[in-house]
Amino acid sequence: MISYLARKILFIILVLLGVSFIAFLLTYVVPTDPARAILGLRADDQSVQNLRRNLGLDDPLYLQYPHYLYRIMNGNLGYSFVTNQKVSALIIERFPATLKLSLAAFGLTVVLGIPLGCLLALYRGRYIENLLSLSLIGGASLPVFFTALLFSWIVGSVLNLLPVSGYEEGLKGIKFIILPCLALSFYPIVVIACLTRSNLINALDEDYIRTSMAYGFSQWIIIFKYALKNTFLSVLTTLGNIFAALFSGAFFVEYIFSWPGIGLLAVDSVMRYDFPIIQGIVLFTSSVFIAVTTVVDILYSYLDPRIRFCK
Amino acid sequence: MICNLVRYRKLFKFVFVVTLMSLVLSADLFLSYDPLWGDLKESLQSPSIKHFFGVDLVGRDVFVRVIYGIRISLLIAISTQFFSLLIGITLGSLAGYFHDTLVDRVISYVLAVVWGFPFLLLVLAITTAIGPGVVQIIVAISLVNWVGIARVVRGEFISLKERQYVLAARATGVRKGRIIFRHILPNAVSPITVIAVFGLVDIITIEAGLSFLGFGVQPPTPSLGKMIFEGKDFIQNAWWQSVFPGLALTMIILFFNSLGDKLNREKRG
Repeated sequence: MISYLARKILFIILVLLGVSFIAFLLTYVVPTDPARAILGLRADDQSVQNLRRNLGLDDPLYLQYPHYLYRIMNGNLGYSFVTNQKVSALIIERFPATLKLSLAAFGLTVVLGIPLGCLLALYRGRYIENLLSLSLIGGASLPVFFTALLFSWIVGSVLNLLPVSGYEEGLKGIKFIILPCLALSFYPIVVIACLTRSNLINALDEDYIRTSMAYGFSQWIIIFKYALKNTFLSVLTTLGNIFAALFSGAFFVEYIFSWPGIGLLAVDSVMRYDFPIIQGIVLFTSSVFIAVTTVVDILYSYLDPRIRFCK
Repeated sequence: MICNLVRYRKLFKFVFVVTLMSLVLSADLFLSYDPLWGDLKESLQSPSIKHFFGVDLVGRDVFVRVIYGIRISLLIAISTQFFSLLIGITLGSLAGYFHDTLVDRVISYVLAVVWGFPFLLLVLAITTAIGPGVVQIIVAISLVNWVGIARVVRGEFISLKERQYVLAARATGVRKGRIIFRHILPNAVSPITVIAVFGLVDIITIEAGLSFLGFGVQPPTPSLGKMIFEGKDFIQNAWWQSVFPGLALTMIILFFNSLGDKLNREKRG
């Protein structure tokens, strides 16, 4: 186990290095000159040249990258072109909102997705299952920004049940989080439900299920006490990936509901060509993404020893 | 009623797909409105016999624009998938065939790095760097999308290269390139098809999303994502501007999702 962990962590460090290199390359190919962007269009050429030299932008690529790497190691992600704020401070400021939203959507996915999958497995082959899975697949085909727009229009404006935008700390904020959370978790719920369903159906064909049926246990006990346990492994990995995807994929939902998270910051920065912020978000979100998927991998290999002996 | 619906699902699907495809392909023959120029006098008219899906803010027929939008969406998706397949299959098969050698290590490392980025975020960052537009979108999505394909191809190759027919080919002195592309690749076609079809769904969603944010297809060219965005602020008075393009998008995604599902089931037997 320890050598497995060590190899895994070494590999992750290498991957993070690669990620930082790509994030660095992105600024290198961007057509705007950072020095020009900082000083503004009216600055004279001489001061732009001076700033370029001071920032090290005239150095060759192989010198710039170590410099950049050293900078981000020290937690300095640069400064915004537009507002000159520290990028790291901006990201830390927006982080709690995104975390809150993705945790809420994740919770909803688990609470609704797994029971829904059980229901589908239990009623398999009947019309109600056909109808339900048909509507689930239809629902899953709605692109997330369209779902968000429909929710905000129908629930927020037509029915006037919930506010369509806003953010507040604490318990008062609950009414603001419901719609974005629903819109964001819509697709993952379907994914988890379908996965749980197909895994459960496979598990229900096993011998131990037939035996417990022969003993006369009720179907619910069989599903929840025996079969579900054996489907948990693959559902767990998918759940981990879903959390990573939720955390990094909330752009549209945050944008439509004006949720002040990292996604909204990314969209705003993209629209203003504020490259240091985009770069910072790419680095930060990818690191979280990689960290979460690695933890899931390790957890998985801990729960299922076959994985770590395979490789 | 419901029972009949389920029973005739296949027929419905078939009729639906045929109608949709012929509509989209033959659009120029029967569409009487221009997708780019509108009549301002008709601005924001609701759906009617004359304008099936209503009229948008600048007086353009939404139905016509949806049809052209579907076309562009499919065009981008298919060409992006073509380039992704080209890169993904080449690198994936090399890595898989030369499993556990330096070639595989390098390619796998690149795969792991690109896989480490959230898909949408990386595409968004690349489009910011190279600018908006149809060609740029195809480049940006292809640069990220090939990784998923390469991973699948690599996995397939690792298991296929131990088969006896490959050993036989090697023993008779067939060149490596020929083994890879003529002997192993044809046997990996069905998993590649499945992932390519599901990949189309991702590409279409991401293209629409980028256009929604203003980074994809540039106006006045009709694009489903952009149309949803343009109607967003008028949705309370003129819902048809956003809802019809959104439904069209959903239908395309649904179509490729169920096609992929079907192929997947056939693959498993």
